[in-house]
Amino acid sequence: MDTLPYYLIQGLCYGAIIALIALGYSLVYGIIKLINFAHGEFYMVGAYAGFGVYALLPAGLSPWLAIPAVLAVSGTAGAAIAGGAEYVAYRPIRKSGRLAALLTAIGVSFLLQSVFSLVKDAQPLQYPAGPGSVGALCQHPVPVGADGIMAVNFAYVPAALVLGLGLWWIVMRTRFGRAMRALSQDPDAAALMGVNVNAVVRRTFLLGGFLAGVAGSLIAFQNIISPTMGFLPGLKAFIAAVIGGIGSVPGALIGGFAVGLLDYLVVWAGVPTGYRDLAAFVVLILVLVIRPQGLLGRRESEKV
Amino acid sequence: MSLHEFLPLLCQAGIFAILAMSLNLISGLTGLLQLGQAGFFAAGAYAAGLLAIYGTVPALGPANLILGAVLAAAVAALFSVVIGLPCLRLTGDYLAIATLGFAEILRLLLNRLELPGGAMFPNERIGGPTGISFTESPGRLWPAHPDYNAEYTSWWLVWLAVAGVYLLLRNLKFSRQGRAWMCIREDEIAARSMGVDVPRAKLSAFVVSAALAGAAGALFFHHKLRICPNDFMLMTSILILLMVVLGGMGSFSGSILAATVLWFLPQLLRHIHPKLGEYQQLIYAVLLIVLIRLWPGGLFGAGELPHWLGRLSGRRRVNA
Amino acid sequence: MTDAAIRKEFDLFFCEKLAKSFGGLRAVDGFDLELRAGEIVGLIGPNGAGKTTVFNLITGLERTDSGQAYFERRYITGLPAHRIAHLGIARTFQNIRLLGQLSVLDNVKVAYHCHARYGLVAAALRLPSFRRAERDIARKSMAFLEFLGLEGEAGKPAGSLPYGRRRRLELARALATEAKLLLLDEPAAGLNETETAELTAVIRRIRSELGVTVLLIEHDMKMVMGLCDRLVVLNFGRTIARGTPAEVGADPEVIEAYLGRPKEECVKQADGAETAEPAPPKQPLRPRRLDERR
Repeated sequence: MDTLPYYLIQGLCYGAIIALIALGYSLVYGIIKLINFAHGEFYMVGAYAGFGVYALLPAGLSPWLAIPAVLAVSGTAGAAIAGGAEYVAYRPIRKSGRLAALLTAIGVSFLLQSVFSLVKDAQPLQYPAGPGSVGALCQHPVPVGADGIMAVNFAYVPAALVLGLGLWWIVMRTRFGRAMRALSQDPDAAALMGVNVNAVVRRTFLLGGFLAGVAGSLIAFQNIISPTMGFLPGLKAFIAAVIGGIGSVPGALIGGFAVGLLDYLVVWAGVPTGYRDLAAFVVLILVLVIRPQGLLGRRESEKV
Repeated sequence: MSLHEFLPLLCQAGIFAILAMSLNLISGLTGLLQLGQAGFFAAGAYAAGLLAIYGTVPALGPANLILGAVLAAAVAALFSVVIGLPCLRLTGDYLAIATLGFAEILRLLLNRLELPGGAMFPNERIGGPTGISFTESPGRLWPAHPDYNAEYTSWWLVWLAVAGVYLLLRNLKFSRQGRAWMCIREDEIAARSMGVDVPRAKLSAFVVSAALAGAAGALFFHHKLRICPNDFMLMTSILILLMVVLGGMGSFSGSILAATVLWFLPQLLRHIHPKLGEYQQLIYAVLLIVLIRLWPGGLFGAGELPHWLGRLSGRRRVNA
Repeated sequence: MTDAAIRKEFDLFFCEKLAKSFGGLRAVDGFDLELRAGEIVGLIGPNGAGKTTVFNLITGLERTDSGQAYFERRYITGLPAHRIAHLGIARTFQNIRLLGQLSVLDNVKVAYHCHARYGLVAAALRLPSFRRAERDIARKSMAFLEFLGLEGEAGKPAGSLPYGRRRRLELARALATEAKLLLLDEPAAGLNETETAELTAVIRRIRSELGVTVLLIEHDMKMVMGLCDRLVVLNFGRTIARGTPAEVGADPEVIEAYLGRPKEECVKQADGAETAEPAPPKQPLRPRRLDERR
């Protein structure tokens, strides 16, 4: 019984990462109705970019300086790759219907995976954990009950909350956010009202990619980096976005935490680890069938 | 490329042609996005595999394969009803994700599924991540050449099935049912007011599609004689979808052609340069992005081969 | 007249007290209608009066909140749309809903969905029953295309037709369901004067040659007045007048609904609505309506 706090904390921390990815998913779907399958790959690219910069930094640099640098670079890389994908792949087919967009997203996802498989022959990478290094600082165990939780985990929830609320502020309070909301209601009307659709879509991708990239580095501090690392978190983030109500910023945060908690609580409840990933899918199907618009989403109906 | 390498590929291309046609029925003709075709494929393959292991009747010979295919189709159809009843109320992307979710759930379950080996593998467990395997297909209709691998003895059987499925689906397309399906794709509200029972028509498309995918699974098992859950990953569903898109949404002959091209392409590249074969996923990905951008209608658009030829020779005909 | 007597006389279609709300808005509020076989009846009213919603309720595309409808003395309230189509009520749409990628002929063939009686297996194997039924469908569909003068375009994709022809095609498709009651939602919208005149002639022929009863929504008053036997006028979901075109044309409430009331009265109404106690209106018309509009 006293293992519950451990699983609760781990679940919340993992949920924070999922939430960061889900925010981008949700924003992009909200404005152009595209399930951006490649979003999990933006997260992977962020992790790789952060690791690459770390390798370039002077060896003795204090982790307290290295970590912000790594996070900044991974966020930028995530944003850059998202913006690039939008410009090269998504923009040309935006008018060709949803299926074309979905398939292109799948193509981008596989493309990024296979390109990053070329890095060190797809060997998993890991931050070194020598004394005084980033790895040692982040992976320092903090005792919770009988188990230990790596120190970096405790940064996840604040990071997700700060970034998520910042995003919410942008969406609800800025001119750009208003343009986004207008676009999600009716792209043509928004364009007629003077909203630069291309610019808004690009910036939305940049924002989403930034969040995913940061999340990638946050997880990489304690976990391995591999070309396929984005696949499962990407799917779970999508599930989180759907559960929370796709298109809604607070919904994505809530959905992310819910999926993360679910993931760890099923393990705590004694479900064999092989079935662990199943829980999220089962909940997804239940949500889709019972309340397809999600917790905070709004329902759309076709006018006759 | 020797016959040795060619015939198994031909067999697999045929199986994927059936899969692509089955998905085309639901996604191309009826317009419902489905990302879980690999799930029905897996259900059929496992049904046929377990029947072969537990219930092969040697006296029946090749008829065992037919029985397996029938059972596989029935099991997959049953799955599709269970999945379809709740999920077909969803539209668009949500349906795509729900079907993807079901296929993944099924794969994860198969990963954990362990069964006693029965009379064929006493004292052994079968299933789990290593899947199930079988020493020899009871469906072998062709005496095996001593040099040949068991895998490609029945390539012609597979292609016979391809032809049969094609005729079946083409006939359906130009029938009352096919028109109802296309009507749902184009405009669901118009379909309802024309007297089409939309939920029922969607379910019938879903079930027929799943049954065909299940039958393809049976062929797959009897061809490979060794299947495991990882044969039915999301990548498989997406490859099938890529074939449908490349061939043209709603064009069954296009699906056959696209499946064949896409299945042979990486092998051909490997033949040109061994290094190229390693980049299979990369090539598929680039192909997917570029094709959709340049050629969104696919090879044949929505038409079938005879009409396509007709159009080439300058005669105007559309669809039917 | 008692209910039973009404039902007997208007033996084709009868509905009473149909109501539908969207959120707080009462789109249709107590709608009654009776149709005799062979009538052409117009449903008119300003934009947003609830006319299309009435069509959706009759055809089952939307569920009624309350009220009941009978078609050929059969209770049809709550039936799904495709069942109602099978019984013999067909419609066209305000924003034409054709299947753009399918051919003109296929668009009409779709309408035979209710009547073709062969199963999946017969179709998949091309059994004789399938071939016979399909030949029949093709012949009848061509007949309807000829009826509307579209036979020359049977092979073209429906999306390639010009606007006026598309309206005709939708009409052909609705007729091909072999409906006894046809609901036309603004059939003349977007047509020029010549095309409207042609359409009027076609609707008359639909009644005289095919014996189909027609209920139509239309804003073109000239057409409505010339074509319809009776009119029903809706405003804010309520029936405000009914009768022959001449009677309705002279009804002060109808004129007001279309032209508005004098300006000062409107202002007074609006003021009254804001205060706790609204001043009694000069005319006992329907002071509530202004409130409802908000």
